[in-house]
Amino acid sequence: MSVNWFKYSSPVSFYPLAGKLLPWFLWPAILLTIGGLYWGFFETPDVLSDQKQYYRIIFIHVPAAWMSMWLYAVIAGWSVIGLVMNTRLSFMMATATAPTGAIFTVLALWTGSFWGKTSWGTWWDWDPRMTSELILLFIYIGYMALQAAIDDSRRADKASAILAVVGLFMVPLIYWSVNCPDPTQCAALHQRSSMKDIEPNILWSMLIMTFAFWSYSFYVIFKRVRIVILEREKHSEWVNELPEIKSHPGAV
Amino acid sequence: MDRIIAEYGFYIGWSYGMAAFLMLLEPVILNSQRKSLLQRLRRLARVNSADQ
Repeated sequence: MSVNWFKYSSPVSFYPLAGKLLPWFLWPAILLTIGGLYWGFFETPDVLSDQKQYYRIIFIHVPAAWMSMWLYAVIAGWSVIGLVMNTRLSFMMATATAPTGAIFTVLALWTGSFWGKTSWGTWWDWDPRMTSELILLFIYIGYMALQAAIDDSRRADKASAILAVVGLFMVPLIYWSVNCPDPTQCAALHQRSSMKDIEPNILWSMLIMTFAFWSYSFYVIFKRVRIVILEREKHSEWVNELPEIKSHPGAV
Repeated sequence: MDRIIAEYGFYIGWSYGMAAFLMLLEPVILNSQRKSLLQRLRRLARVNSADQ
């Protein structure tokens, strides 16, 4: 059986599909969060190298930081598709992704600050990774502000898409910002680490929480894109024919 | 768990608390936005229908 994916590039087809997919992302998000936190708090060692219990902030800090970068890459991807193929839904998806990406960036900075206070003795340091993550937050805010500032949604989409593509350089920059060849020569507090050096239970908890955040992101992005679609297509005939509008007692 | 809370409750609490707050707030705001948007669209549909 072949599926015509191009069918879903239209807001008319994607709106009901996104609605049907919501529980398929909500429940995994809830279950994976419960499982990931249980594993993270009860199946992991009490001490990680020289860090005590507070290292458990890792189970939200690292997945939030990963999601902040991943969602930005997703926005840039949708923006490129929108600019090249001029598809409305691509821009709508990018618009719907930005607030969630910004929230994960805030969360990465916030949790990093609390972790930093316990492990490095400071709430903030202009370390390359922290600074580049902060710049990513400013790019997210700039993207959303630019969209809000332009009344014509088509022009707003294109302008913010260009900003998203230009700002994409931040993602590899954040990733490579710890790639200091000689840690003793660098001022960076974050240091390069390898997946294989992480204790397996800690790594598994982190990965489960990442999948939980990933499911959560799909859930809220699909929820938001349905609002964006309704808002932008409100004068279309198909919106008036939707059961949630047509069959409502108040409607004629 | 008691020891975790006693020793590092402040840091872990504020980190996990903020995560829970933001991640629960986002769907609540979206639900509220959708509700008010649907009300607006129903009114619009009523006006359009009356005009016809």
